[in-house]
Amino acid sequence: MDWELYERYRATLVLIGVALLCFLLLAFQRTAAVQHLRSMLIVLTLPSERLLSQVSTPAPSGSAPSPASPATDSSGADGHGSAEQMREIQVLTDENRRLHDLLDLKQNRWPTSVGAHVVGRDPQRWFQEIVLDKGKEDGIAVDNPVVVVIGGREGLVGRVTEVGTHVAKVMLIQDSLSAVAASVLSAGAEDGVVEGSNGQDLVLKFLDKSSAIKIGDPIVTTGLGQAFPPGILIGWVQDIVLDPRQLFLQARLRPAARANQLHYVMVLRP
Amino acid sequence: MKKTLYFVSTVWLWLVVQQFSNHWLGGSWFSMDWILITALYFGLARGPLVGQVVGLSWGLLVDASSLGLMGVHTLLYALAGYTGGMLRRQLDETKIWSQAIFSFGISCAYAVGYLFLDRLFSTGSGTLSWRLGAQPFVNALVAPIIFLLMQLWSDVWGIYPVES
Repeated sequence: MDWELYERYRATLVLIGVALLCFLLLAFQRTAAVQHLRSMLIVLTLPSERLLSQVSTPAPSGSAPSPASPATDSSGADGHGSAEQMREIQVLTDENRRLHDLLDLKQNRWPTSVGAHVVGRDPQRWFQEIVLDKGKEDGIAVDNPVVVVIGGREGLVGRVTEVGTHVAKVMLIQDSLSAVAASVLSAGAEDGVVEGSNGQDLVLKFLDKSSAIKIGDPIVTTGLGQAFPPGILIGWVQDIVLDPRQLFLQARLRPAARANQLHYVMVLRP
Repeated sequence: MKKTLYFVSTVWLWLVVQQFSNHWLGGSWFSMDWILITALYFGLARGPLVGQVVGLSWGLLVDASSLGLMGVHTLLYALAGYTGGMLRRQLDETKIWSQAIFSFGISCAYAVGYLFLDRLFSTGSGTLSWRLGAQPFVNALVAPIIFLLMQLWSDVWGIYPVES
């Protein structure tokens, strides 16, 4: 009789066990046991994520077309093969250029930095966080700034908030919890604070009403508080309005590092 | 042995499909939750126990790889599999409309559960993407395709739904 009852409610009993396990996991997030379990599970998922990140890194859209671009080649089956080859060469050339830029920057400005692929993104937190394929073992630590290379210079991406053995989580500057001390390059180096909007754009706040800021001005980090090194490009001014209390000017920024185009980043270490 | 291989390969394959989907479509309106729908399929086709165990496995892997809250997806996917299993006698899972409407309902419950658990346990900004609201519609739209794919995949392995 008892056995029959057990058989009947087996799935429900298992569900109660699962729910209990989940609440324990949620309640003890930061404990060594849960972190250890996470590290073990990541070993299973990381190879496919890393592979996916490597094969899907696209060529930059602004790259110049090659002398024999696919569009100009239409000579049947051989032509198709040749066009395919040209496309591959183009992708490899762009990848090579990007890595070259990265290497130059690493050698010249950030010799201790670590390059990392973006291997994970949660669609529910698309503009808030990314997961990198490098972690504690690669020397990455919490609060390390993360940048991307744009035209030979750095563009600010965010900072590391969590580190596992082989992975790290980065809070993007687009997160509404992010605040970065910033300066307008061409308006007498006027300072403000760049905050995220949980969307693609950023907002530069606390500018004086008489500020000489203009659309298109570049915004860089000031280095105040030492969270980020000074002079890293954050974005460009897109729109200028008075803030809701009419006390300050605030500017909407187009970020240098577009959240939708993050594939390969550089983690800066002190 | 064959059954174990089937489940392990399904969990792994669908995890990779979800990663691909997040990578290419995660930032768009067409972001979908393959795993949630497949956990539902397992619940409907093989009963609540299988549904929740498969959901639990996926949830653990998704939570670990996203470095998010450990336990959120685990609980929600397991619940989805269990719910699918408990309702399998009331629903004809071969009907496209049943698949779509049921997936829509479970996706809405998932979104509410996600928001609730995130607010309760997260230390993050607490504002989630609007895509979470759009996802039930997208899930409902693709559910019949995912159910069909799962049936074909099961046929390939020669493993068929059972009464439990």
